[in-house]
Amino acid sequence: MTNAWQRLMFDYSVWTMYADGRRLPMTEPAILRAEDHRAILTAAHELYGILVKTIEACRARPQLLEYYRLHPDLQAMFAASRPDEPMVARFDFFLCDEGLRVSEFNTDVCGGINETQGLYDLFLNDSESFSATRNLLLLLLRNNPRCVGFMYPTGYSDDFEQANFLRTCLEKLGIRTVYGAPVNFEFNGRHLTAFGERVDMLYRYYLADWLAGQKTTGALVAAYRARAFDMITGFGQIVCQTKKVMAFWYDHIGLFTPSERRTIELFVPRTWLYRTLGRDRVQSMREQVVVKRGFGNMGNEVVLGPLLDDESFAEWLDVVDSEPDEWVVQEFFHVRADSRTMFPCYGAYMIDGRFSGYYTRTADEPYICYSARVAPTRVQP
Amino acid sequence: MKKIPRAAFVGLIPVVGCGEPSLPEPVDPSKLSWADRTTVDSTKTEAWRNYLQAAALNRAWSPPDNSPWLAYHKVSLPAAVSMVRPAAVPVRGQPATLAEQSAEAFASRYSLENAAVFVDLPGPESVAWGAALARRGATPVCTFNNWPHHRGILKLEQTLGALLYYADELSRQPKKPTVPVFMLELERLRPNYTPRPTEFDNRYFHLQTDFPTAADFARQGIKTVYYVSGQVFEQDDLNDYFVSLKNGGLDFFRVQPNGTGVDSFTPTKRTTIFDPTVVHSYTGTSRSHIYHRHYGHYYGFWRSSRSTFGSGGWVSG
Repeated sequence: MTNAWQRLMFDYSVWTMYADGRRLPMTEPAILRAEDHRAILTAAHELYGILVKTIEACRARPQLLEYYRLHPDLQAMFAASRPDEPMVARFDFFLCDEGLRVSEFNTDVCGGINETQGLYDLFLNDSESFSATRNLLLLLLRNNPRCVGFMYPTGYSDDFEQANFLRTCLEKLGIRTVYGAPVNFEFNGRHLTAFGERVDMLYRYYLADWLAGQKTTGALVAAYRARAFDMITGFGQIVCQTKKVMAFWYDHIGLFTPSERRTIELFVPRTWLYRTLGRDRVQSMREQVVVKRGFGNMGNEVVLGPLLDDESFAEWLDVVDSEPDEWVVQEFFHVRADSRTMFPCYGAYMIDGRFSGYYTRTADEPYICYSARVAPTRVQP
Repeated sequence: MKKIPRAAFVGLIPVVGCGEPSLPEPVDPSKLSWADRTTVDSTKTEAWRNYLQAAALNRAWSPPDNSPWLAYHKVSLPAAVSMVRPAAVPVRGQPATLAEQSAEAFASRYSLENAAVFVDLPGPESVAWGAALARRGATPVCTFNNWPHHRGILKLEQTLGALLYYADELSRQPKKPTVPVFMLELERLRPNYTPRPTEFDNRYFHLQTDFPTAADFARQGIKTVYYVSGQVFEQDDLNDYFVSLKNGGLDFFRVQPNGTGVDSFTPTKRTTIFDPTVVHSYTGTSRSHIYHRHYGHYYGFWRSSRSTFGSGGWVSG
């Protein structure tokens, strides 16, 4: 194994190098045409604005939040959110027969930064095109924290990879860090602490959805509400992380300006709440739709109607029917293969409103899941 | 206007990707459990000191680049050596000594040809088995997948110390593709345990994609699985996987930790701590294609209250 691969593992904390026996990181860049890049850039900025507007609308008019039917803990988290929360997000774009399409907004636990930074540094020798690490570190440091806490599901070392990479960067800047699971972060009425260390800034690499129902969540929310600490990412974006946001837009299209409506209709596949369509209608739409869990991630819990037969699709709707409030139905789109006959997904990092580079995954099939390969991205001049 | 520390701004770029992790004060290597520490390694020298860098330790234990087992080698624990470097020492206790002897006894009686070995014992003993079978030409494969912590529920520093103990010996052995020995940590699940705020929950579990499929084994001519364990059943996270291997045509033998008792057995589907699980997988392919950390698995495991992975438990259920 070459020195560059060793460095990717240990300098950039990329410990999960393989899936299904295949190495995931690719050294050959994905090539993106300049015109496609410009289209993604425009769409990403416009969609970012619409997401921010959605959060503000839900904050101003709590009845809008009812549309989401969130777990009470998630409602409490949203209620504790602050108007000044910066968003650390990645929007997943596909180039399709139908045009440019966005499949989801990763606003809660936005990953892939460490490995992409490593691929740019080590294999492209390009320190300009990818600024997500730098921009995220600046956010973590913006209020001069003495100690940054890293909260992640400690049973998953692959979730520690990005957190450990950022933690290491901060320590080299002289910032103290502490890491642990939700149970390790305690609120004493004034401060948030972990293992006895006061935490000023919390990097929450732990899905808000997974916090719902846990014994420790109430204290965490209370501490945040009391401004005992700052947090990346905040709780306001909960209404963006769930794929229900795309159904929300179509069901509340009147909230948006004509320009915003055009952006939604141009880039966001038509999306419905599963509960509003009902099982029979969704079954009849099988060949045209994808059924997704609102808080699903990594391509998980995505039921691709056109790739299943009626019987298999019906079996999956049994699962969906067990929690009908949690799922959305979305128009299927046809992803175009690239020159390598792979299907790329261009994840555009949007950090506090700034485009910060791409996390591009490519797959042998026209959808992205855990075994998708990761490549740096080169925009063709 | 946001306040950005000027010094930090200037210094950000150089820190990215420039070396191994520095020592975080909240984790104190000197407070880790280095029981059974020793000053010399398996070569009776202090060569272990050459493996206190993550890359070096990993290189010693990693299967060769052309090995079909490289994809299953976990680097998480070797990566942690840089973190605990100031206090890291080789670990060698009496149980590991006995484990090494047991592995040698096993290898002298049973052929490893066309076999895969899964050693599910306390970490240092699994490592001793791996090292002993490596002397017989097998390829040890690390599956340890979490970090030590001085407040850790698992004392993974013991396993890390065992890796250090054999690192120099392993690095001197010829690297060639051979049959695999998967070294597992017996304590990884520690079910029925709710962590306290003062404890770091470094338990973990394996998923099917952590290991080769029956077809992968078949391509390498592997027909037999030896499961080294003192337990009646394979651990819960291996049940589905072992059943899939059995259905794929592999024969199973349970090996007692002393290396002598070897019995044929048939893995069968049973209720585990991961049930009930709503298996949500990526359905573009087939229902048997299990996402390696799908929501249902995680959620079911947590909701069962048998493990929480740091959640501290649930309000109800």
